[in-house]
Amino acid sequence: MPRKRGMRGARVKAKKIKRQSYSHSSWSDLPENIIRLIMNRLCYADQIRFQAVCKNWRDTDIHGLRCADKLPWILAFNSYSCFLYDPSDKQSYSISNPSFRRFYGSHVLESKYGWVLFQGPTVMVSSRYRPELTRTSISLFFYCLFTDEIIRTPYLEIMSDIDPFTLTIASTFSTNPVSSDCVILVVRILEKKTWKTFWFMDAGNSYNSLIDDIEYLDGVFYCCFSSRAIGTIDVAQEKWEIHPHPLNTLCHDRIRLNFLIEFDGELQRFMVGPHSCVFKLDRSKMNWFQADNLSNRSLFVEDEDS
Amino acid sequence: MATTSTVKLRSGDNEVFEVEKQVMIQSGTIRNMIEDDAADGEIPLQISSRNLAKVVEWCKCMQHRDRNNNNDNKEEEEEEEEWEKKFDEEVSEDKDLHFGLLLAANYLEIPALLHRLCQLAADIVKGKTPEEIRRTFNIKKDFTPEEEEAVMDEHGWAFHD
Repeated sequence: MPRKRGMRGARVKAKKIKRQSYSHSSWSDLPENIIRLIMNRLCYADQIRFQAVCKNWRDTDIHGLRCADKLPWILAFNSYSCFLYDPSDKQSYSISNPSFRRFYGSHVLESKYGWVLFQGPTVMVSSRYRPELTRTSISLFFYCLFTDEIIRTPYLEIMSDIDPFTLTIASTFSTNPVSSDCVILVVRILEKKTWKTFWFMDAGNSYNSLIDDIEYLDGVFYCCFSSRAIGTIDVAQEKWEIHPHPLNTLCHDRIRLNFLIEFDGELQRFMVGPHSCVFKLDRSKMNWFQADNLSNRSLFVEDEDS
Repeated sequence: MATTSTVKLRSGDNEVFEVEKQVMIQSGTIRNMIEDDAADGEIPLQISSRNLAKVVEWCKCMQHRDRNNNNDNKEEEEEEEEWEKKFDEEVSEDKDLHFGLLLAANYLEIPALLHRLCQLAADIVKGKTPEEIRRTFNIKKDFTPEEEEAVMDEHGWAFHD
């Protein structure tokens, strides 16, 4: 749009500055856009301390703000306190909150988008008429530490003769749990607020083959079996497929941990044992190829058993 | 029509800086004025001469660096790096200068300078408690005791190691 302005234009602009420079006389009066630019360069804990300095900094609209943390934080819970560790500045924090008692008997299944998915205490009742069957009620809930919010999901009822713990050893969810299209996979899929059951067969193995880990990427859940096969569940098409694959036999022996991680839109499978190795998934061929390195990243591995 | 190759900037305390337009087009505000033919006289700015001099100096250095980008002159490169390091140190130590330059870069719309200054501010804030930040920037605590308690309640974990 062409604009015609003479010196008047310059004067108008100059007047504006006058007002601005006189109304901001202290660091606490910094304009909001500058406060946001500074906060974008701080890690999460520094952002909180920054906002506790004065009213104007506290009232800054933090919507859409990033934080400078590069590594994921480490979180540990017990029934009374929670420990946070920020690996980027090697700082650890301890949070004591009486309400953590509600986590007693719960354990963490997955953590994503700032939310932790917990599996609450499991209630098992033997069926009166068929004693070989056990009815298991499992409560699953999401917790956001930073806002102290809880999102509950309906009880997951399982009636089966399978040890229920083998059914829920791994779980993941697709999107932020506050969004309406979040799907949780716990071998069963939550859809429209009821649980939908998928029974599936591992290739050439018994149907209760253990799932080592689950990950979600682009509308598909990937399940990694201890028998080395990979299963995919397409959420939209509700399609379940098993992909047996010739995985490098070098790594097969004495694998202690077998898990999937999504890195920059790629699925990577980590096998930790005497010969640890990393595989990337070629999704067009549904086959693994060995990755030489972690693209200059570090991975923190925890083994619950040791 | 633009007739000269320079612009005249008048500081709040009436000092006039004559700078090449090529240097000052890094400022979105000045560039708009030049494009609108509104920059032929003096442009009055409510920026102190001390801060304006620093902004002009920075713009000159950046323009010089960009122009010589294709040259492989090691000596000049080192000189520029040395200048930038000195600039960072001077700004970080002088909170009034830092603050004045933030507002000036924001008003004059010089993104590279604004981002540099915000990074320096963030580096100063890192790892400090709210009280230490207040002392550093000479900020008065304006929370009521109730408000302060609410802040601590909400995110108490971030305030102690």
